[in-house]
Amino acid sequence: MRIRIVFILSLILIGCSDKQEEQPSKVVYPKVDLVSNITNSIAGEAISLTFKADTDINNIKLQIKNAFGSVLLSPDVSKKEDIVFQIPKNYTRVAGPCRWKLLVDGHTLQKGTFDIATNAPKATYIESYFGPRSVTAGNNDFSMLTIAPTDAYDNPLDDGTPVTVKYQFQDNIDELQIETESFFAFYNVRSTLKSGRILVTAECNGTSSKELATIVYPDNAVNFSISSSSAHNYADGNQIITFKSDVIKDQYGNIVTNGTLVTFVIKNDQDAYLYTIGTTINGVAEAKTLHPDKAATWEIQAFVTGAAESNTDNFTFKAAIKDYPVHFSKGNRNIDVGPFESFMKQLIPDGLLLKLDIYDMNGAFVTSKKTTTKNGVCNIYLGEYFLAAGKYKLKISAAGITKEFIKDIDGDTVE
Amino acid sequence: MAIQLNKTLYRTVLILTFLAINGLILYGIGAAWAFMNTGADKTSMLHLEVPMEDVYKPNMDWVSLDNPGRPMEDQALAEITNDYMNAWHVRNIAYKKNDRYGIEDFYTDSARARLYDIIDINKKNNHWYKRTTLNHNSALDFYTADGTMVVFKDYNVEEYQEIYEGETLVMTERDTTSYQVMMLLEDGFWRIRHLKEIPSPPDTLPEEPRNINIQLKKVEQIKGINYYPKDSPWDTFGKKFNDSIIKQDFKIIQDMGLNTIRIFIQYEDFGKNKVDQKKLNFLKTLLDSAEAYQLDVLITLFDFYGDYDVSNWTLTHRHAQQIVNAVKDHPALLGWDIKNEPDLDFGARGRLRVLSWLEQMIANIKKWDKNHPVTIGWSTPEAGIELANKVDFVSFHYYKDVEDFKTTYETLSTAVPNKPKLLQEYGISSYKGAWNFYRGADQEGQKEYYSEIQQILRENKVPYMFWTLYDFEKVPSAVAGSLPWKTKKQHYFGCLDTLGNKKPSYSELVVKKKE
Repeated sequence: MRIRIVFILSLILIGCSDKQEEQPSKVVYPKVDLVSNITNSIAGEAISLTFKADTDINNIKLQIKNAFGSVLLSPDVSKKEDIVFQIPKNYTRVAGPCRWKLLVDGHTLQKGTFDIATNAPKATYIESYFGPRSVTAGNNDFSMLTIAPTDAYDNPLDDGTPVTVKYQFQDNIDELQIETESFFAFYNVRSTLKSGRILVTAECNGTSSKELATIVYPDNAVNFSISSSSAHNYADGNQIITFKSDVIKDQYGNIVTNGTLVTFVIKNDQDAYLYTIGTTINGVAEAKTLHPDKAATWEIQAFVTGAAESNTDNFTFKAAIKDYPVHFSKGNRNIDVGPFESFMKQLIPDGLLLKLDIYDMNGAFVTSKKTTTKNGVCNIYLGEYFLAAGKYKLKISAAGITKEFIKDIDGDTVE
Repeated sequence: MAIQLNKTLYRTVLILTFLAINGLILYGIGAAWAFMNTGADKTSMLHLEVPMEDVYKPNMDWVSLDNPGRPMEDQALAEITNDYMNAWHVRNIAYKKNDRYGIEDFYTDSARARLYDIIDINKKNNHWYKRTTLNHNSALDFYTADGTMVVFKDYNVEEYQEIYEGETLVMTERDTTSYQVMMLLEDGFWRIRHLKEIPSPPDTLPEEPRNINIQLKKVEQIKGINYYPKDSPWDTFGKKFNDSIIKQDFKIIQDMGLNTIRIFIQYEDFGKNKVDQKKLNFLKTLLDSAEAYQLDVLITLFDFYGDYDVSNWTLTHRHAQQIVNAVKDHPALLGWDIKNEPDLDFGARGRLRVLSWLEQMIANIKKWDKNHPVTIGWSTPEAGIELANKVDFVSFHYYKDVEDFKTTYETLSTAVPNKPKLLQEYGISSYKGAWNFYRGADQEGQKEYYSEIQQILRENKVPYMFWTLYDFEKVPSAVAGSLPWKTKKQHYFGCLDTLGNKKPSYSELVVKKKE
């Protein structure tokens, strides 16, 4: 009985006891020799590694590693005398060093490297980049052509592979040889003095790239001259005056790109600035603006902002309206001005600005009113709530002519 | 008689069975409960973007930017670097999960086909990889005029990979390889077009020699203490960091005749890969104070870290790098203790994985700091033989019987004869109470322990650092859990009590001037 108790207790004890850590035992690894000695190969060629072992090995693996990553392979044939690993295509096709390690239970038995060369003879493909796709004429700018040729399996070709570059501009076709370095070859296609289009192409091992182009745009505009013209020179506030540049060119004589923005800045007698804008077509920019409504002298200058400026052109406007009548009525509250007559006694076009300033008799400003003409006349009514009865000084100005009146509002309507 | 015995036996068996079944049921419920509470964090439903620098941040230096093409701009360089790192990262993840996710963002059409082929083979063979790269030294070859193509060499890329078959780790592998890379800018991403291995250049720069002999001499003379402030144990650099308290403590330590302290840097507390500048300043303040009281400081770099996973190697490297570079020239610094008791993680994390991480970290720290020795705080003398040829001196902890100390120490000395060996932690709790059935040592027992072991240490000239200065009122649950019978004794390891009064053991630990 006691034996049974002891037995049960010892069973429990055994059950409770810690799991002993396994002591690493001395493992004797099999001896393996490499039979097939591959040191060099060409991309795309099948590669197999054959080993010979002195014993049967169950868990033998081959690790293959290149720049893109590694895989573990099991042998295709696994006999003691003949352990064969077939390297997968995605490894045999990648040029560069390929490392292998023969493993048993994570232990490296043997390792080695073989080099896979690029396979340019089979086929060559060209990737080419050309940029920037536009340059400016002159001696400073260039577009860079980069050519990255690869072999049949997308491996970059070895350094020193010759590449022929051809480029065409107008009647010239140039050709030159360059060599690849660091996966690619490059050539800087210099800009020309004339604007136009440069076409380039490259050739490597008989394979041609597609056609690539860069556009040579004219350089910045150089100084130019302008002229002004109009149907007449009366300041009628109606006619349109046109400013026009001559053909704007860059320093190499290329007509500037269509659409080049030209700003015409106008300075009048009061040193106020007006401006108008035109864009070039075939090098000529044209801009328009209305005549002033009173006599003025304009100084006009045009700019291609940041690049070029023109001469200063003058234009003098004569007064179109010599005088105008003013008529007061309804207790001097109603003021009729006009008709305004232009240089041929014709009625002026609608919209001439008229301004009435009202001062009290002490000369202090009270208020003002503005209106514009219609059908050659205009009217101002000073309502009771707008202006109290009394004596005022009224100053009317239109078309550069100012007239002063002293009127008794609500007083005698007769002047 | 026989019948009666039989009856007792049956009774015993029945009771035992009953207890066992109850135990199993409780365990089962507990396990189910634990299972229900594990799994994905709820925020993971949001698929928030994790910043790249929080998952993978190897060292990348551009050693040269000269090229015959276009001058490299800072902005473009940052984008290229970032996308190149992304390319490595998505590849690492793809090989880990055998999933193509993300590859197309960072590899051009023809390059990605190559990765897909490899993924397919690995998937078929049930192989997967944990990979990381640690160092990149890049030199620009070419940057095109329109800024859409770049070719560069990436020299001596330190790669580490663990190869798994199913759940089994087949092997670990460390490589240094150089590459030449062509990247193209396509719809806003720099993508790898060509990647080719090139021969690594011979190291032309002579390696700066290490100069650690002065510090190693000091190690042999260590009479020291593991230091935590009284009110913030295991949290020296936390909210309660107080320079004046630390100075008071250092004064006490100096008055005891000790010459060295060991302090701990908690991985998460210091900000992981983005080390908090405030914490670094605290650390410098502490070192300044230590210098003022003529104490040398042994810094334990990784405390409360236990992952070791390849995927965050680079983050731990950045953590260590920032700390090492911040204080490596401080006169109070004695050396670097990489990790506290990493051998305790052998079981949970795998010995190989822990050792790989440590080995890499040793190499890194030796590279960053040429003037201070490196060690690992093993939890037992037996573990001290691990990586003994990599560390500059061996550190071990000893909490077992005093009688056995000498023999275990001698065993270690025989195994590692040529390096200084530091008893980095030892001590005994003076807790004797209900939670350990009144079996432990009381304060007198603690004194006895120290009087015995100090004698042995003196005789054998063993440098030592005892645990610790104070009894602690609060011990964080991260240290020994929250179960009172486990954590209680952690409160009473000090030679001063929680009020700062000297316990009997204090007198044994005071170093007489003669020694």
